[in-house]
Amino acid sequence: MISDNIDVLVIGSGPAGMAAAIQAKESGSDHVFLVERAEELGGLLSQCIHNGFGLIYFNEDMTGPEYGQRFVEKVMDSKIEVLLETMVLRLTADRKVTLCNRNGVKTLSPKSIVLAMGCRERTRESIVIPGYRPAGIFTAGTAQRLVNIEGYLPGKEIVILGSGDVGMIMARRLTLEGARVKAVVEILPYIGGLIRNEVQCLYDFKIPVLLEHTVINILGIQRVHGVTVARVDQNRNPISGTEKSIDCDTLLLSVGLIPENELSFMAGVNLDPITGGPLVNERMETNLPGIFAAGNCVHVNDLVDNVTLEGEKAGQNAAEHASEKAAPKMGIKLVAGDNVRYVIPQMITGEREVTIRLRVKEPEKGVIFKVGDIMTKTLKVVKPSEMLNLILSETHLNKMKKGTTQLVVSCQKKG
Amino acid sequence: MNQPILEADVVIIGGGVTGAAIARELSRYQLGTVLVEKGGELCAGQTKASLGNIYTGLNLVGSMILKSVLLPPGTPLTELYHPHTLHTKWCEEGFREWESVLKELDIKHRYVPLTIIAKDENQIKNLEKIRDLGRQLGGMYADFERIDRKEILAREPNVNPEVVTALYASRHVIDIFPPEVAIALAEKAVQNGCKILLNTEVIGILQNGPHQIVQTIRGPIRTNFIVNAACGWGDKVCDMTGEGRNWGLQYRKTVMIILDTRCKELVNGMVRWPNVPGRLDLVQRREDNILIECGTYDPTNRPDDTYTIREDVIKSMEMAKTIIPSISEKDIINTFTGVRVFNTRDVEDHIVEFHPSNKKFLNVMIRLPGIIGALPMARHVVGMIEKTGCKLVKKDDFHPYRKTIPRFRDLSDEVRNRLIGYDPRYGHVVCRCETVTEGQIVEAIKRGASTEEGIRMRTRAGMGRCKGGFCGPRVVKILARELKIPVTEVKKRSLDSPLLLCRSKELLLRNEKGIA
Amino acid sequence: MVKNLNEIICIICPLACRISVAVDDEGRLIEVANFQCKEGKEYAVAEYRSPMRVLTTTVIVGKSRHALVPVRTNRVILREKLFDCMQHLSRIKVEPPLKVGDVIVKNILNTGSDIITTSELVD
Repeated sequence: MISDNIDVLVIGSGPAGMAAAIQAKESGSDHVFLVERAEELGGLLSQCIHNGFGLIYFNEDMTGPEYGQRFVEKVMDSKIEVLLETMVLRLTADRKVTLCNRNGVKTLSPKSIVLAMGCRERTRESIVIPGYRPAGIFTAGTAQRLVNIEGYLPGKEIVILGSGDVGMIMARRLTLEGARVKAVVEILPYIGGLIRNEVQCLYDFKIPVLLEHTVINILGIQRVHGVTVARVDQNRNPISGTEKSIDCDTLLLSVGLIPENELSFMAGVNLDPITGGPLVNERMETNLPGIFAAGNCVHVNDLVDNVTLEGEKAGQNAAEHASEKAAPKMGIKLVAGDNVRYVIPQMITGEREVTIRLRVKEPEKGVIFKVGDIMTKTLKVVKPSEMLNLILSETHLNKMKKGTTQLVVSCQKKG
Repeated sequence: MNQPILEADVVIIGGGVTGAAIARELSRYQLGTVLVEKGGELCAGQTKASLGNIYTGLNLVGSMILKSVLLPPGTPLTELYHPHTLHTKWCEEGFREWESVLKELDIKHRYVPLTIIAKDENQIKNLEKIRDLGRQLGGMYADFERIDRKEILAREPNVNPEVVTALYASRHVIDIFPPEVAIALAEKAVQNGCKILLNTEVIGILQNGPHQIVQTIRGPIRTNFIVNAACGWGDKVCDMTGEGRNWGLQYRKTVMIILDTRCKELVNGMVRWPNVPGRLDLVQRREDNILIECGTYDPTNRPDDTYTIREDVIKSMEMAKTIIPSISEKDIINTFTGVRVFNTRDVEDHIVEFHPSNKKFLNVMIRLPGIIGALPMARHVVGMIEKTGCKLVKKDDFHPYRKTIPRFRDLSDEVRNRLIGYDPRYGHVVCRCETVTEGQIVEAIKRGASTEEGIRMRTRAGMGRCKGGFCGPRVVKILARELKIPVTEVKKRSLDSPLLLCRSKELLLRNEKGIA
Repeated sequence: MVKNLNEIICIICPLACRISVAVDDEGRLIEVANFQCKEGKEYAVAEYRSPMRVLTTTVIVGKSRHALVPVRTNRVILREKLFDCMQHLSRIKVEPPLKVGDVIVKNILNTGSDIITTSELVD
């Protein structure tokens, strides 16, 4: 029953949200609400039917639904109040949450909130691919929902733009379902996702990969009947004379994921322009007291296991906030330096061990990471598509000079 | 000849704002009116991608001044004002009338202030010409102020700081969503007895004794009168009578850009550089988004050449940034191309005339702007039909008022709760970006939407930043459920635009050997 | 003795070594080169000899508000058998209730692997 004495309200029941809700309960919160706009719990996990989940968290190789089920069961066992097909319409800085479902519209005032809305996909319109507006253009994630949950194929002859993991996974999925994937087109000179997917999704099925190419035209007025691709130069501009057409009835786009922060923006949460997600401290708290965030709405992750850990952190701290436990002061800013695109969290106490998660800007071999002058780590290879963890232990932190207010995290080539 | 599928008194060919306005007007009379549209939804042609504002006064003067380059020196500017053209008469009459009809039809609208800015000598000269002509014409045309930089920045803080002066009118432009206007007019027509047939392309026109036969792909319709409101395709339709007209139709395309609602605060109304022949440069608030139309009117040879050229979008953004410097490509959520239709026979005006050898075939070839004058135009058309001897008896049960599909997004929580109490489907939010509920989608289908585009135009579902990423599959399922058709039969717009080509496992079951 | 060179991209770590596996005409292993760790070498040889994969797909569900249930092989199977398994599964229909791990097909096409559900379906 809807109550007005809510300790923690979690928005989104994907891996981040479920982990946050479960942890909030385990950390002592009595009333925990989990709000989900879709028809079932689990967020994207339900449609990610492939394996590769849980290698770290459960030490098993699981599919998305299997991974999700572990948490769904815990949610159901933990007396967490679950609201499905419920949309959050409004969020304010003082934590008023307006919910909407078939029972009506109601505003609640939980003591803490965890934002776990996940991310959305970049669209054809926002990257301005020329052409008409035919049917048959889908983002890869929407296609994944259609194929794996609704039971429909977007088309029979597919071209995929973008070689991120979602694109490659869908290349395999559609091929197995009997469609023909004519090409995966990638603007960079290297594949965007994991090697494992490169091998098991593309090479296994002999799907042609066009690196340093992009789609410069969509053919078809009412329904796609082809695309034109062209090679690009080092500035990623199409090279005239290299155009070639590929017949197809469907174009799938895997051209980027964007953290979903409409509610954060509405409430006045400060967002990091690089990640698109909230600026958070090591407690996963935003600039608004009592509003925490975790998962893909903060930054796009690769491994769901990390999302779960982040969710747990947010959930635990949300519970502590709800129980009015005193919050530690965040004295140190973490700044992205050479070849580092962003770091999470952006603020730390500087007194407790903390795991920094980051992405590099450019791929590089033989690198050394530096956190200020208190910690270094060498790695053989780094890629923008693989998120990295650096652990700052208390020993490292004790090396900080008195009066330090920021630490620069950089990635340089060794030697 | 096959048995006619319908008998009518008047057939209107074309379901854009022109055809819809005429249908509504005709539905006041005891006549059997049928509107046929070849697309899968109304507004399939020019109306959908038109700029579509309803405007008067300063904005009209701005467009009159374009011809000033053709005036021999010494000619008074007032020569640019053509009060006897249908175009000018209908614009003047139309604006006033829309102010009450928009409310009558419950169409969402907002007065947006118009600021015509100038920063260099040339622009100031143009601005002064507009000012002079406006003052000389008087009335609505003179109802504007001249403001200086300080005042400009107070009213439009994000405008180019180099602007020197501007002309400002606060109530000369009404921002609307063009398809909503056309659909509201059409709904009114249907409510009052008009029949609308979608996916019904006209393929021929024959004489049949005292009647005419409109041949469509769904069968023949026998009728007394035909109104050709097919705009861009008007030439082609007229040719079907066997004798084409020489209107010299020209098509010009222009790209339009929509920015994310998150940056809507960057502009309050419409801000534009003074008009220059052959191009339009404006940035305006379009409901909760920003709409940019900055570019040239490029000639094309087809009325449906809505192909968006990437370079045009880039150039358009560059020009838009000269007006509002802080807008950015990263906020683009949509780009589309509209085709404007012009006739070269009567350059200044619409062509509304009977076919020379068929006094029951009325051509209504409207030049832009088409929405402002649509209401007087429709009355004029009905008047012309009456003059041919057709008896027009008014219905005494004509319903003028229309209630829009509830705009859940704009309602207070209290009203939302009442709505949900009445129908719980209004509590199921399907489109997150535009806050559109299942109740609205079901209502849109009841009112005639049968395609994804129809749902989008009538409810805004799918128009937000994620472009249907979340709501798309759900909208398709609701359409299939309500229309009782297989999901694979749901179209984006026309019959040849299916969305989902096959069901799971279908390809595997077909191909026993697996993929070659 | 003719060397047949085969390049295997190792997926064990981000280095993605392109490991060269050389065999003679009878398929006997001659040499493995360009690897950086023992696990990589073992992976390359196994992958060359007999690539094995997990199959994840869906099966049609009847009498349910769900259209599909996601399934997987509970063991790796020969890569060559992936399509045959897809064909086989395309003809199967199941009904709720289903729990995670329910066996839908035992030892599918003699691969030694079962097809099990990966999601719970109550109705």
